[in-house]
Amino acid sequence: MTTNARDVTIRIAKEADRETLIELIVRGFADVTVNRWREERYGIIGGRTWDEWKADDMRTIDITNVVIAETDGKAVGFATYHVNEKTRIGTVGNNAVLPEYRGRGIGGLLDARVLELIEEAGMDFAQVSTGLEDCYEPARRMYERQGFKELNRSIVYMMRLSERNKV
Amino acid sequence: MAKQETEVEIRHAVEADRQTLITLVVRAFADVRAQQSGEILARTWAHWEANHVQTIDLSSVVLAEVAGKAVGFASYEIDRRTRIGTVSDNAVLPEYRGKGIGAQLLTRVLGLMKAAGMEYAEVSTGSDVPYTPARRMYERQGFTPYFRSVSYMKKLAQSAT
Repeated sequence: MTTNARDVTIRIAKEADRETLIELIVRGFADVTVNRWREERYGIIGGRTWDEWKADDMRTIDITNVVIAETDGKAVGFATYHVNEKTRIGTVGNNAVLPEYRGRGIGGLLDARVLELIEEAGMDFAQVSTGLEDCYEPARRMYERQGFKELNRSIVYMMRLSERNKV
Repeated sequence: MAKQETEVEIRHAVEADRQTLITLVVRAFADVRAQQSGEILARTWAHWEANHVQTIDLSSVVLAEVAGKAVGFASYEIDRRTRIGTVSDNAVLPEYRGKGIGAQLLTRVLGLMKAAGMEYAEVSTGSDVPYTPARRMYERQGFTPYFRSVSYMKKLAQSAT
């Protein structure tokens, strides 16, 4: 269950990792998360800041659907996934590497491990979404290198219901 | 913008509408979805749409009827924690487009979200040409874009097809 490459270990997370993972998701996403931009633009969502929502994602996830990257015994990255038995599509979810550990292929190792797990779970396809802004370029390149093909592009819109135009 | 020559009734879907809705969803999405799904899913998109409608909570679906015939629908979800309502699948049959029916469906959905205590509405649509009317409709209601995304798919080695 453990993959070694260079000095990085990829392993499946355990319940004892949860607090570490909560810190990791908040730090790993600070510069790239769409939740943060949304908050800057539309205000605090549901009375909680973006990092509280991100922490919540990690607090509630089934820990067996998380893999963690460690180097020198320190957690520096993670990736999550879920599988759908009906559609047989596995989806790569939140994943990030701490800024100071990027550019070393750690994200690629995490992604490769997640794809293995999705395949072992009997899925026919893997799916993933990411942003089109420049900061997601390394992520897009990583997915394309792993054999992902572009399916479609979307635009996400939001509004405050109190500011709706009368049409 | 809606030419009021077409008398449209917007109402909540009920259990008896489910089969109608399945037919409607598959027909109304045929021109936009087949293209979007690309080669990997092209054969089965209609199957998955039908499957989705088979299990959807109909209390979160509104229907548009013209002369007693269902010609469009819109569905939505609410999240009481974030207080964000999400406009999900919605479509109008090709021959009934351009009459403002989509906008009437959307207006009703946004009203229902607000009545349910939602503070925000969110919606995601395609960024390519078939979705231009949808984007214009959302922008007219006051939606502003904040994120552009790309979805990727990969066929896994064990997959038989």
